[in-house]
Amino acid sequence: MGRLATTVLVVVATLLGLVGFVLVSARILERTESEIAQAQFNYVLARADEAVERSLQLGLPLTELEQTVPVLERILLRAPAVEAADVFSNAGITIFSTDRGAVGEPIPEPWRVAIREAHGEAWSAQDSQRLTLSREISNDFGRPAGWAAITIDRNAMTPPLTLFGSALRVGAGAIVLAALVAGLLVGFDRIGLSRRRTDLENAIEEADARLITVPDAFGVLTGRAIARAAETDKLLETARGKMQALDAEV
Amino acid sequence: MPKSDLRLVLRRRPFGDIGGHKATDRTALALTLALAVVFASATLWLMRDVMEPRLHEVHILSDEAAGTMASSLADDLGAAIGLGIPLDKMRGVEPFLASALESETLVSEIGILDTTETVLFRAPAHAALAGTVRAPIVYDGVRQGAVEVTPSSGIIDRARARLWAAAFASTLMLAMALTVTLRLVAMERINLPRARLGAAAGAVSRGVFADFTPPPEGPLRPIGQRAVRLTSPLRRRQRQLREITEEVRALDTSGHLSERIDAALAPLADLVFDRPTATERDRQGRLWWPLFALATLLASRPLVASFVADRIGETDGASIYIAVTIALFALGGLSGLGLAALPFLRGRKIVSLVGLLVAGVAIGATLLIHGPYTFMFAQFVAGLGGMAGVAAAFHVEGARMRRPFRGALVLLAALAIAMPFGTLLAEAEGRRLAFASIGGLCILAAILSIAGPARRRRTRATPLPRLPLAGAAATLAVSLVVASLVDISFSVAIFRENYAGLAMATAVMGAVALALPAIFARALPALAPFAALLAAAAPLAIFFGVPAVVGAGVLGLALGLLVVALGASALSGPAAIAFLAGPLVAALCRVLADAVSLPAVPLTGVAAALLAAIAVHDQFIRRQA
Repeated sequence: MGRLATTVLVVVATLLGLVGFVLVSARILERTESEIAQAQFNYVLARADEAVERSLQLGLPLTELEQTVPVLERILLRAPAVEAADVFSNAGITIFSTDRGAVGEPIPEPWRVAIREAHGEAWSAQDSQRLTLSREISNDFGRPAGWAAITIDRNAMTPPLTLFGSALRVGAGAIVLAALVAGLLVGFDRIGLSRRRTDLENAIEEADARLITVPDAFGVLTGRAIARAAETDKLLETARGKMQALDAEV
Repeated sequence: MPKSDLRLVLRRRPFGDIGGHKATDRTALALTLALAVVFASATLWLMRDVMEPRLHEVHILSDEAAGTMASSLADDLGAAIGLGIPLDKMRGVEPFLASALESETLVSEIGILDTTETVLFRAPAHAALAGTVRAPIVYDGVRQGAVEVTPSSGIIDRARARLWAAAFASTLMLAMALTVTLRLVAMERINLPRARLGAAAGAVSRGVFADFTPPPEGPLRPIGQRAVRLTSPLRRRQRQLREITEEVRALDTSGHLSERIDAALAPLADLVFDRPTATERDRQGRLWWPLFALATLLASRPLVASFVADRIGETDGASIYIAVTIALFALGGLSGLGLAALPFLRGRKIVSLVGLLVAGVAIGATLLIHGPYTFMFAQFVAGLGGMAGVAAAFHVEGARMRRPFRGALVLLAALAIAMPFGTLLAEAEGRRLAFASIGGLCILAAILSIAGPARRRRTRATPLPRLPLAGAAATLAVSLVVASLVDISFSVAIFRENYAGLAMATAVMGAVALALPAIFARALPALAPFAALLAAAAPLAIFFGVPAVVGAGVLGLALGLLVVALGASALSGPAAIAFLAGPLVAALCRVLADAVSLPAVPLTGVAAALLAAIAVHDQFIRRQA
């Protein structure tokens, strides 16, 4: 890899690295915004959950709590991003819902998977359009009586990569400048050999060990090699002279 | 320099100074610092001009959410007033507000005010109510009072801390990745050709004028070409002399000149002119591939334990599942090492290709895995395939010649770069997608393993470099602590769901570890016990309240010292075995801690301290005795 290729690599890597940082930062911000929105919806859900549990404390079974429907409808009024609110049994059958058609229907399969993985904790499930948040409804004895869930339009939760583009536009100048500076730094660096190279080149070219001015181990070895080569040259010359004399003799 | 002194230099620093790698190390370190300053400036600029304004917008959003809560409370209070209870006569309001605060992350204080702005109720009791978010309590169109809440700064503060951690980790990771790349480029272009030219010069100075070909590319090519021009006339002359000599011998049928011929040639008796050198192995065993492959393989390490923990939930046996998963990857890795060492598989490209493909699929499949047992199996397969694939690349001619230089850099750099990379990936795209991306990179590494010339395999197992007991114990101690602290504790507890923080801690560990070998002039085996002692200190320090990032730095020191201590043998089979055995011991410590109900982190420290004691005994007491 030549110096130009190395410099290009450094520039590209810096660009990618800093764009990566902007991506990570944008995701942190997006997640924070979603976290705030989710906290807001969780609060709404918790209030609904509490309302249902307070009614359960009166001793009625969950299926007979007719006042649950107004509670659920109040949720829709408070938070416009909430599309539906449901209460369903442990068996996964919808008991009350702001969507009247859903009553008596089994809950969607992704919800069941999420319940299995949640081990009794609050859970969430999502598809491309909606996010569902749910909490367990406990009866007077702390036993699970069912679940309360709200389904939210996902656009209310800052979808991924909504901040990335704008952050990148604002930060593009800094990123490009840093890449250029890094490229210049590496491009102008000579990883420490140019002066010695000239010494050695001259010394080997002239076959003169005295031209080596850097006395490191490489220089010492090269100096000795040059000296040995010169010495060998003389030996060979002498031997050839003698041999030519013998040749003439025979 | 007299010949004996030269020999001394060569024996004490085999090829070290001749390759000039220390000078390159120093340049690389200086370059790292310069690049780190550039990246830090850029990230600071981005933080100030891009992230802080966005954070301010998030602040506004948080205030709005707190407003929703205040409105909801005001609605409830309005409804109560509708039932005929005056606001100032309501009972149980403060416990109600306190319970609302407990479950709520958006607000830190709530107050109920009457129409004269007198605070009737507040939670918590000492609430100063400095907040500006208010909602009126209205009944029948008449304002009865107000709910005032102080939005909590917790979420915003946490986001800001994560942004700074990500900025720090990105800066360090980018600087490390570029420096290691430049270091490897410099090694191929400068250090190795220099060492080879140095060896050739050494041979010439001993009278061996072999066929030295110049380096294929790079700044040393001109010197190489001139060096060839220095020796080739000698070889030509020797050939001419040989021809004349043969002619004379042929003409000298009586043989009475043979003594004089021998006498003329006697001064040349010790010289060698026709020993070709093997040059093609230089182009094999380049380290960029093992570095890339190992880095992709290790990138998911900090994500594994938290993934298992989330599959199991907060049950009693969770730590056992985590320990077993970590141990299975290591066991797979050990089996992979054994597989790659089999005579008929040793050094084969097909092992690298298939191994990394299998590992990539196993890691990537995490995207679809829901059960802990399937994940454990996938981890075992990933360890087996991945380590077999990487180890195969070290059984190649040429890999051996790179080991004395900065061969150990591969292991360290892979660990140093991979961990922050994997965690930042998880922060950017989520953990499951991060596993999938890392799997994709493994598959890319598998495909890249086909690149380059056909491998010239070392068909016979070369004798492994000796790893002294002190070195083995230190390697085991450091690896044990890395597995227990970073792979498990950081992932599951200290930095749970805080990938930016985890990235920062691992980047600090990696940067400290990479800087150390560049400072030390050469391998110092006596440092092994100190590496083990530092490794033992890290978990104990964290247990006694030292911040995790500082603990990670101490662990980085231990890793760096270990590589300085092991030198060339850091990439040997025994060192790899010791390194992979670390997670097994870490898993054992976890299981033991679970069985006797002790905290696992200090127990790991104690285990590492025992290993350090073995290292100290072997290095300083047994050898002196």
